[in-house]
Amino acid sequence: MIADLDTAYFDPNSIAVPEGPDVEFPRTQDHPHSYHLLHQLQENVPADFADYSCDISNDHPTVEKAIDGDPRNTSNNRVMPNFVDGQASSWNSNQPGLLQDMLQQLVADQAQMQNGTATQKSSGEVPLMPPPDHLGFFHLFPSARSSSSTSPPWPSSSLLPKPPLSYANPNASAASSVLYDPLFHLRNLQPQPPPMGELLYPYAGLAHEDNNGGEFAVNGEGGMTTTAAMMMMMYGEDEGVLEMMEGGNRVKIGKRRGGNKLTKHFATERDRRTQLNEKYVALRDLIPNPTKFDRASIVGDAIDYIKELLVTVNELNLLLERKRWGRERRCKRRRVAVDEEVEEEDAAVDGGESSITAVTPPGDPADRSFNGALRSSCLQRKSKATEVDVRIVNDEVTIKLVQRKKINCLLLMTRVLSELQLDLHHVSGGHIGEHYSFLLTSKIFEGSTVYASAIASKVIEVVDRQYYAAAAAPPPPSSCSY
Amino acid sequence: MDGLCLGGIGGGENGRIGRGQLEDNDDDDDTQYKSKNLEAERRRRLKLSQRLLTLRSLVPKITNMNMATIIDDAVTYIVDLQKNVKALSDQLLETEAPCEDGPKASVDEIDTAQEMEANGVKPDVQVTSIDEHKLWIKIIIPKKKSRFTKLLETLSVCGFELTDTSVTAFKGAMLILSCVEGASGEMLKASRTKDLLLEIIKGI
Repeated sequence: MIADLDTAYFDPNSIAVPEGPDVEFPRTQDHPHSYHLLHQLQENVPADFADYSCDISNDHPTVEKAIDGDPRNTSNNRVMPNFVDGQASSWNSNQPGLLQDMLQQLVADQAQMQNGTATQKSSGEVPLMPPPDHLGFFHLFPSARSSSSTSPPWPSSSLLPKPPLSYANPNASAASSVLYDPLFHLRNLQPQPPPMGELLYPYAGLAHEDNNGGEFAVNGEGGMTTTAAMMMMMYGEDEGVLEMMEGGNRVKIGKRRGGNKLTKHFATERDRRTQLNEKYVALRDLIPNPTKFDRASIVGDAIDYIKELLVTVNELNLLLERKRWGRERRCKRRRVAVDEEVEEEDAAVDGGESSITAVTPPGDPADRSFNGALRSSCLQRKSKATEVDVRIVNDEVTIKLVQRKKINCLLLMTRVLSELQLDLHHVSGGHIGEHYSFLLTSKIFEGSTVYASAIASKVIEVVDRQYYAAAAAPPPPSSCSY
Repeated sequence: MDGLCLGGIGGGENGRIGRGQLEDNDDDDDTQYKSKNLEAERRRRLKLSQRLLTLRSLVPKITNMNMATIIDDAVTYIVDLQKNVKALSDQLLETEAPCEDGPKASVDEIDTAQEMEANGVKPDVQVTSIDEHKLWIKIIIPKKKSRFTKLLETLSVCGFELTDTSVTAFKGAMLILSCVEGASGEMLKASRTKDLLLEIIKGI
């Protein structure tokens, strides 16, 4: 009835007052009930295995404590193997042996770092057995006894993150996880090193979904949530611990593996962002005079540019039509008769002469009256130091120029106008504050095909050239494209 | 980064109010700046999304509705339009009809001079000095094609620069009122300038 430590037969129902030289149960505790014993053991157990389970590098003191002369702990350590041996279930299988080996190894490693006596003590012990078959856990893992020897006795409900103990023995996969299920449970009852707890907690929830006995449930990409992965990434030091666990199932925890999902996320997100930025840059490159380089202004400039291009296209179409029309008329009448610049947007787009004839009075070349819509186009262009506003109404061109630096561009402007065959009618402007501003009105010579954007771009080009040259003498004007 | 900048500004403002209040206002300012930052960020994002929507409305070919495709479509559309413009303008240049301005221009010139006379507008050149470095000129001449340009060119060669200018054309004449400065800040004399101008006008 009494737990025979030597024979390692534990009867849960017996009065748990182990006797024997090796056992040093605290005599002060007169709790014959197994429950209390179990409770004791329960209390003690986590201390032990918490020590082992934690990252060794962080927990030297606790390990020391375990190995040193804490009678309770040592006694428990001694008791443990007995419990395991006593169980009629799978504990007779290889697993306990594995566990024992692992624990021995672990303890030996630790012991070497600690004082010698403790080492002796721990090394002399029977291989530490885990408390899995602890009474307190029996009800938690009812299937433990019935499970086969090869499979981990703990059901999926006990799936918990693989304890870090396994790092000591990478081959002890299932066993180690088995070992730690109760421990983890116990550990939850006691304050744990925060990183470990926080790390493990997110996995605890995940673990339940997987039915691989004893294996950590984070298999495959689907198991890990982003938050969990993020937490894992955050607690880098503990990842090292988790990482060491290798199992039959590929446990994807740890920076390299478990971060897969997260780094994939990062990578795809990064790719997406870089691609998007490239597209913005491509858009910006098309725009003639980009001023700012942030996304909103790029899009704004693009909008203006598209509108400008549309206007230009319309204008060009119109001019072409007019030209064809004029040539026709010239053929008929031998006279340049196209004075009115009729613009019918639809007609221009259609490009059909018939539609234009529908608008203009047929066979009346000398008619100078306005028929239908007038040609009107309006364009603004900005560069760093210059703003140009070109408006064409019929045959009058109005150019407004604001030059932000002190460059006298009047001469340039007039040159440009004469090149473009524009008849200057009116000029006004001058030095206003820091700017030079001019307003020029001119008339288009008949027969010349000048359109708004051509004017605007030429003006800006010329003025900017001088601005950047910053020379006293203005540069030679650009050759006329006509 | 924005937070840092704003904090800096807040510090400046606090300095103005009074050093004593600096610490008291810190928390308020932090929250204030945070919310201002939030609002600013929200507005910025709103601005961007509105503009993207406008861009989208302009582009005819729409595939998907997400940000990347909007920009892609816009790029293709702009390239398309540019090609269009180029083709059309080339076409226009090719089929450039010979200008019949030659004879007409000369007719205009004659007309303008005659018109001037007919209307009683007399050619005139006046120069007065405003101060040491500025002159004020008034010129009335018959309007000819690109005469003003030539005038300006010649004046610049002589070292004059027109600053505040007003030019109008009426009744065949061109009226030029301008403030003239020496290109290199030299002193100008009214009489000499007037002679110069008369010479120039004769030449152009």
